Amino acid sequence: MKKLLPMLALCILWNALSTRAADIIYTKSGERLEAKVHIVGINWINYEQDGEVLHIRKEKVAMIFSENGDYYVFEHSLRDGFLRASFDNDYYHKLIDKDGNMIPLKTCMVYRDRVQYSHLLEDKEQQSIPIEKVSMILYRDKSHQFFGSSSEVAKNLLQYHKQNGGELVASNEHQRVKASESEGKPASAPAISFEKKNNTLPIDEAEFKRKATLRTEELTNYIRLISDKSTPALEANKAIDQAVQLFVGEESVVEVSSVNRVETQRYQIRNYLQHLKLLKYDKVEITWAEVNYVGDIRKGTDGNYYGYVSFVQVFRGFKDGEVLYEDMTEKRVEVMFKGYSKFEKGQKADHWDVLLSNIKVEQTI
Amino acid sequence: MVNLLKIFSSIALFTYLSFSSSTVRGQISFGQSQNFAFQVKQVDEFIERFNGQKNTVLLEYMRTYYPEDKMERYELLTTLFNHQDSTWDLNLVKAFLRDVNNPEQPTYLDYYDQDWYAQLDCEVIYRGQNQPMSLFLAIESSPDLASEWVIKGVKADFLCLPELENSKNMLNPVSHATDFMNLHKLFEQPEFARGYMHKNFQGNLLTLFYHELSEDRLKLKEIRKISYHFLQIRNWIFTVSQFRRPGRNSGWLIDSLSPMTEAEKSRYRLQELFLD
Repeated sequence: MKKLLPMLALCILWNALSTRAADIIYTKSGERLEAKVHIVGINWINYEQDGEVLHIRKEKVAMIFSENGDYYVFEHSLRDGFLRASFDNDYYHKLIDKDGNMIPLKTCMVYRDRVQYSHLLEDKEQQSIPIEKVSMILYRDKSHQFFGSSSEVAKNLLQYHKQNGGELVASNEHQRVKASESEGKPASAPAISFEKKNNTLPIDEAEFKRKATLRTEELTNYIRLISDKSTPALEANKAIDQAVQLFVGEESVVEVSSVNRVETQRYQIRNYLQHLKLLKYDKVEITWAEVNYVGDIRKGTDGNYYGYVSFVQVFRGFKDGEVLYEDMTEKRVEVMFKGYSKFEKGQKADHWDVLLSNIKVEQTI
Repeated sequence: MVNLLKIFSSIALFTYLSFSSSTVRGQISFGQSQNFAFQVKQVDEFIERFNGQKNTVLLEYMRTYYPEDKMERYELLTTLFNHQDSTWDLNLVKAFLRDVNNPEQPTYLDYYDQDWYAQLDCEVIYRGQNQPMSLFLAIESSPDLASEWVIKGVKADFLCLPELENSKNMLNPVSHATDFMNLHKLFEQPEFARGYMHKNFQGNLLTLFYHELSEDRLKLKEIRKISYHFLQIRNWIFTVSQFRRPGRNSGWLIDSLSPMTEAEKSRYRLQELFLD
């Protein structure tokens, strides 16, 4: 019974792994996607899942195992190229260890702590190898099993093929992945949708975008307050201080340009707000277009995360009930993710927030 | 012009939108909001539309206001051209659209692609004089997709080496006999350094730019214009510029398109983008 339980667990796992109704894409982040792969392109891999054609960037993929027996290994050392190889026999299993060596196996049994096997060429009846030394097994029925992360397995598989053949494909070649005999051609005119990029983000992207939009709205509210004559000077100054707090620092810049003017004007954020304080109106209206554009978050080489929001606003300044000044501006606001820790009930807790950075204001009317 | 409209107004939607009402919502009219939805507001949005991404702002807008009008990738691609240019070779445009939208081998753009460049036409002050200068930037990214824009090329006619003149400032043919003792002259009179270099020496503009920048002799006055060169699509090259104008066909749009072989692209990188 002791032995039966791990074997039962293994069988369940094995059934899951050895399902070959489709090609299998392993991403470097550890995802396993069952799909029909159509094209390994220069930058993208094009695949079909549930009738929808999707794409994933090549550098995010560790390996593809095609149901026709070919497999593709994408590894950093190959730059944009990749290795293409095939299950080339149906009479022995291949165990690849973590040094990239291959052991040909007549039989094998996977236990929790070891793989027990009989070597194809050696006379010894049974041998075993500790499980932590095993990278993967390619079974003779063209199924496979991993014993490490997809990136590690890809590295070991590549090490093996560098010594023992396999086709290295240059980066500028498209590869159409062969459909199996039973499969038809890929569906034409597919619906297009995209994978979620930057899946290594340490934060929730939707929340980042929500906070970015919220910060720009907060800034607009401060601007409305600062430009309004009915706001007492002390409160306006306080509003300026609070508005500056929304930014990464005093060095943030607002650049103002106009379609009718070549030169741009640049202000540090506090100066810009002080400038607005001088434009006194009885009443200020700032309205937004319903549509805005929030760019994807991107990691900078400095380790920070950046994003931006683009939107259109109309500013109207009233005096004695009349519109004294009106403009329509397109604003593009850079935002930055900032992580911080604080103690709550004696415990250190990690938090993050979005701060505004530089702003480009373009007057369109 | 009629043909142009046929391609670019390939769906009734565009005609319909041209005459749509301008219901005022708050202070921003419906028409103005709609223009902003159609405008290609950012280069990122250009890439999203080029790829036919479902979550791009325009498609979300269409789903909200015109759920019965379906826009596929082909139609999205047509919104990326500058419609006000009447000189488009329509056969060329069609061939490009067919090529990138080939259902069996579609082509996509990605921010992390290696072969696209931003051209920044600037005005700088160099030694007290206003001078035009162009910088060519590209995305540099690491395997974990951390990225930054980096300067890869410079066009600056005012940054050049002195002409090679017949000069006494050189290392004579028997310098070896005196253990190249004349080399001291080069360092004492660096203004004549050109005479000591080989005759084909042209220097590297990026290095010169870097040097002048670090010597604090260059000041940025304005970035006058930004355009983008996309070279990553096999056999094609196109440029994108910003069209600041009212209306739906505005923002970052394709303003030139050419078929181009890989060899021609190599020349283009060298001669037009001043890349090393």
